Amino acid sequence: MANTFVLLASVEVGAGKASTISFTSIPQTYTDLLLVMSLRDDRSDAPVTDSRISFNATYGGTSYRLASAIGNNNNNPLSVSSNSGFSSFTAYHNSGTSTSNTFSTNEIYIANYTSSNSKSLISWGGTENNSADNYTLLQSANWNNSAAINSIYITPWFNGLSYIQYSKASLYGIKDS
Amino acid sequence: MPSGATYEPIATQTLVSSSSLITFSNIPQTYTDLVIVGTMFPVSGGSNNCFMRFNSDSNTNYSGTYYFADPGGSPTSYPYRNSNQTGLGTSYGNSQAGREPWWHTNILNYSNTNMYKTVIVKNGWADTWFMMAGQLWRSTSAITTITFSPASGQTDFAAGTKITIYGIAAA
Repeated sequence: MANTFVLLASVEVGAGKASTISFTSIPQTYTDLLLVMSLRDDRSDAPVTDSRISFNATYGGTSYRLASAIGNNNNNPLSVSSNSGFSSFTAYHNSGTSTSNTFSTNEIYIANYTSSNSKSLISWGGTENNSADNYTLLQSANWNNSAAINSIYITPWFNGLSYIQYSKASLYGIKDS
Repeated sequence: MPSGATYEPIATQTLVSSSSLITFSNIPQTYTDLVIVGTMFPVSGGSNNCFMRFNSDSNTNYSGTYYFADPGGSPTSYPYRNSNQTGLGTSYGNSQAGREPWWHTNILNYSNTNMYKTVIVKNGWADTWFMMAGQLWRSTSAITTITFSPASGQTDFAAGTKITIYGIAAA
């Protein structure tokens, strides 16, 4: 049986921290990609921050379309929003005031990443840390670009922040045959 | 960019008779993440919940943040979270034929002794209900044993319950 689920690369941040995690030269021989992340940054005044995630360049432009449902603790209802011209898609990760040793849980499935059509993905994750200071995000997104995805860039929302040691991102390739 | 190993089954358990405990022990420490896929049935119907626990820890070291979609409920979708639980909760739902529950879990960095362990769960049953959750075990211990047991007052797992653990190997 063919090997249809393959770890392409994994990045674990070292003691020196990292302002960007990137995957480059992504092989074009799979059908879909799965990105799994456990992240925490060094922001000193908040328990949670967004990651910006973008394809083929660091974030910018207006080619990402998002529909998001955001949960915060037990607060009803879910916060629901859309954006038709954004600079990246997003995921929540833990920040400095979150419970020690906690990192985010993020899973992003990118379908048909070599297609010449726009690229669709779903992003799910959160920052569970045994306190009320947590957020969850379920996001459907589309990258309105005909280029195949050959690189992925992950950065904290605010300039000057860095992912701390043990933060980790793994990229898997999935084949349909 | 290297091409690494793949998605490998570690162990499967299929119950031939009802049971109140399912245990996976001696989990190899040679993978990066674990994926657990289950189809769990209760002996009798109703809304049954069970706990997944690591390394036989039944202290209040677990917590979770949940999204629920409940088409028959009010509201029909809502967030929920809990702290200081004695296990990671999930539903094994209803014994009604055609509405068997499914359950899929990723355990990230399960052997990393510098991080608390985080879990991504997707769980639901047919046209009735589903949830997604981020869960946490506040321990830096490597996970070597995983158990599943019904919550207090819930019925046993029925024959036919099946759980498989996969390892995702590092590159």
